[in-house]
Amino acid sequence: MPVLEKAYSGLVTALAMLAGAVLAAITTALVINVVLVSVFTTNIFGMADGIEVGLMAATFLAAPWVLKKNAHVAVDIVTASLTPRIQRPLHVVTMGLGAVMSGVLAWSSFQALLIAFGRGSMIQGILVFPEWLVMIPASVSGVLLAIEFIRQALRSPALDRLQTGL
Amino acid sequence: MDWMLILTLMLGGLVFLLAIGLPVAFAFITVNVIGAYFILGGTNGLVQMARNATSSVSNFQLAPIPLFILMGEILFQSRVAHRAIDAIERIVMRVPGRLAVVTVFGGTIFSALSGSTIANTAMLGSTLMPSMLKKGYHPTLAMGPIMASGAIAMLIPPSALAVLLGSLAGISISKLLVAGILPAILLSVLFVILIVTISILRPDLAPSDDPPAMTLWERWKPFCIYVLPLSGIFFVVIGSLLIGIASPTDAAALGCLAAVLASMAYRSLSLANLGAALMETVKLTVMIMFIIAASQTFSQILSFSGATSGLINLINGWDLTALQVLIGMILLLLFLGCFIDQVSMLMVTIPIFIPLARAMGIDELVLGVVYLLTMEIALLTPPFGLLLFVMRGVAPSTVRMKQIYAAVAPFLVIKLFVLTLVVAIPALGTWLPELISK
Repeated sequence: MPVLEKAYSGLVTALAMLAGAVLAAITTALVINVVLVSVFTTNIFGMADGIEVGLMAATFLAAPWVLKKNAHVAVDIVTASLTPRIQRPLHVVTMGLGAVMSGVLAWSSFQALLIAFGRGSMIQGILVFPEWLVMIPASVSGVLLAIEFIRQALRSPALDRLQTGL
Repeated sequence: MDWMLILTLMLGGLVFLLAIGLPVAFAFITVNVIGAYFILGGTNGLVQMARNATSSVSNFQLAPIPLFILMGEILFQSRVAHRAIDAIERIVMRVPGRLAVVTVFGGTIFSALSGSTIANTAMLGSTLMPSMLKKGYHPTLAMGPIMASGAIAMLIPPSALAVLLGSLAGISISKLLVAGILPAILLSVLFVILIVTISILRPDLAPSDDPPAMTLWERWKPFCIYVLPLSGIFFVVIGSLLIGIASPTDAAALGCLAAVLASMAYRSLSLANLGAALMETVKLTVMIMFIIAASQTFSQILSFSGATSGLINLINGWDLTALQVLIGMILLLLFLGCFIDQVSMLMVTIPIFIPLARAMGIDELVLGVVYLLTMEIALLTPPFGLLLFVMRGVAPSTVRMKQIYAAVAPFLVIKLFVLTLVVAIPALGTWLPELISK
């Protein structure tokens, strides 16, 4: 069990770091592109398409890590005022619901992937690539989110949710 | 099914799920799963929901969001911003309530460098709150300006929420970013007037605290070293937008580059703090983008079921003027802001408000500024005002939540006054953006 736990944590953290690397790459590409456009009147081929896919992939791949960090924003004014006797079962129900919905997200994303694969449909932008590829992050994310919700259901409610927002 | 019943079930379900503590993004997913299954056509509806989620965040217009967050995080993690606040403290003198005034200046300046109200408030709280309390400032006068000016980051570019609002509502992002500047400056000026007035009327709340005697150069040197060069970042981001030579995405990328160069020039940039800035950016960006992905189908279901058009027709039937409708929207946004976060406020209301505003002929830019101001106010209204909790985190343990509410109350009145002014004199929000068009 500790090995599985360690592997899961390692995977979730690695995906978050990958998302960080994607955001760093997007920033770098945009800076280079600004220089290319203003000095050499050219641009990075297919950059906008690449950034769009990068933003989407980073969002889905890091979502389980954000959940693990308790940083998905939640409104806890009602639950915080409940007694621990009510808080605990409510926490299990809430996290269970989160797990089921993440499972539905994983399933429906995977169905969309299979349909796109079956049809051989392509995303036609400046870059052309198979549509099923862009459904991978959401499918993976849904599975990992479901696992994270189950893990959290087995634990006590977080006392201090991270103050996340803008 | 009747559109009114669908609207009630969807909004009611969302409120219930939020109340039981389900994270906002997953509350949206739950409502959407049920709505997509029954309204968009069974499992096909669910597959459509998954496609919507993916395509909603595959949007180039959203790229400035992580960039604006990263820019502020780099300056925050490298402590460049903290040094700037210390430098400002030296040059503000002979003003009643001096440190509270410094807080407003510092908060406004950092707002022009960071898109995060939380980072702004936390930085002001951790740098200026201890000195104010040590010098005998009453906690209410110490905390009020920190929260009020911390929230200004919502209005002044780089504002990540302005980018999100512009992208979702189909309002020009460049114009929206610039539109918040004048109301923000007006807010800062009014905050200073309020602080000085309170300090004159109640000197016991803010003891006189001029900095120790020093030469003119000693006083201004840190400002020249730590603040003036940062204005370069401000001009890169806001100047390029105002002149119209850069898109918001280009401006944000250049802002990040400028933040990295500034931190390097101060020898404050390490791999560790760059990594920390990047991971904080991932956390905030994903939190926002995942809500967008999760809630995309919400507006589609409302539209497909006829709820959006039904509600608009209903309101049209009441023969209300555009101003009355705008006031109704503001009141609803202020109410929502007491209970839910800013991104959720946008995702719940935009599918209804934007078509309604178009139908009523409300200026979209004015509506955009109204959105930004109400979201800013929502950061400070109990019980869910996020900055109230940030303040609780940085304030000494003896400070009670009631004191925090009392501290922010007069500043909230000013914010409501400026909101009223923007509605009464729309040019406050539209004049600067119109300059871009020219």
